[in-house]
Amino acid sequence: MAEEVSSQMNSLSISETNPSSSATISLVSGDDIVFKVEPTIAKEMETVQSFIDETDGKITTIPLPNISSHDLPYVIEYCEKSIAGKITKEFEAEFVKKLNNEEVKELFLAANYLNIKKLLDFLSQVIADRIANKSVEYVRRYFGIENDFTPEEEAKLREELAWTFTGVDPDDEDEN
Amino acid sequence: MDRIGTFPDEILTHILSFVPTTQAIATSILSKRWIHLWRHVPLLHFSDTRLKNLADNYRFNEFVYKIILSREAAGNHSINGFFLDIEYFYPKLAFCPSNPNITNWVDYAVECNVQHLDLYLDVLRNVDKHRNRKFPKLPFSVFNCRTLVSLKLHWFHVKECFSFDFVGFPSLKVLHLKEIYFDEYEEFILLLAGCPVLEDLDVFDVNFGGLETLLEFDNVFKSSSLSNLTTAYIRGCCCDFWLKALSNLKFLNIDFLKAMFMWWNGVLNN
Repeated sequence: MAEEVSSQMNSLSISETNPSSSATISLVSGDDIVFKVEPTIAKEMETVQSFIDETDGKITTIPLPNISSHDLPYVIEYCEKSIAGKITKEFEAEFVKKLNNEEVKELFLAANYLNIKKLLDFLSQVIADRIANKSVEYVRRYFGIENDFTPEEEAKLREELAWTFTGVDPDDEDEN
Repeated sequence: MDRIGTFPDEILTHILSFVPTTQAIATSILSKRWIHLWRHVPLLHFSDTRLKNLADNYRFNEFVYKIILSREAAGNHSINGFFLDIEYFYPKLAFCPSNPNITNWVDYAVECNVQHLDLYLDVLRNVDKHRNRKFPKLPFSVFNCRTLVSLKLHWFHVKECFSFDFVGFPSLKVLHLKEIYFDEYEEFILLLAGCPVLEDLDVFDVNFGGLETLLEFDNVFKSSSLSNLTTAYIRGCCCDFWLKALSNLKFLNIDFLKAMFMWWNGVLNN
């Protein structure tokens, strides 16, 4: 995977906009790796597109400080499939199989930042599936939530909500 | 450090909109911040509801009203989607204590301009269900819901004359009708004709009280109607079907009287 990615990218500094390559858009990840994509891909990313629109298309190098070079290829792959109208259940199943819990969360944040509705909805469903029927402790770990209830408060709440906890699966081994 | 936990409420409620309402409520226990989040989820999703007896039925009804009130009290008056999936242990339960309540909830969802309505009723022992051919009545308010984008119904009786008030579903893209009994075949046709942007039609085991119709299909379906229809499953449905309505299909699966015909990509287009 790492080699595959590195073949597609060249390290450029953000300010170096090359006017001859105005047809393609350069997306610069948080760790300064440049990904060249077709303008149609950029259109899928609302945040990127609005940046391009605001500058009347003059700026084609977009810094994405919140997205790592590890996550960006996944986002681009999904957008490419989306444009080609090839988002099928099979593709999504394969796509998500490659991702561990941490990567799903990272991609979710990326999709949210880039404002890609389809990807965001898809990953929301993935996250929902991964926390479905899991114990409270598991979901707390999953989201990194600190329990701020006193033991008494929690016991009372658990009692009130007891009927919602039927059918909880045993915790999986944590992937991370 | 995990950033999801520090996300704005809207993002977390968005994730919660992909889990059944019961599980969304269960997230109250995660931390103080989460106690109220489920109340702001823009849809209601009651899946895998199994009702054994009257007591179960009353408890479930009470539960749904409690949730609606609780959301309302938190200022959430929006319902984008209402999904109800109930399996009754015997058919009678679907009628007296259940049907009037379902009608209330659907009326409420319609008032909230629901876009996705998915009502799936069934009986565990199918034999009983089919002996009487009696179906729970579909709330009329469904036909006044002009905001609908998808409508999926299972095991309902569409009483005659709904079409008197029916002004169409201008945005409806997905229509799935399974185990539905229409008093009048004519009204089924008027329903289809009222969906100008329909893309996905799935008709399974739809039956009719009266098959007579004076309608001229060519008049009912304007040249433009159903021109977006690209996917259609039509099975177990003994009636005439207006073939021109299917002229733009990319996928069609018709199964009349157990005989299977399949046309793949574009065969019909040519």
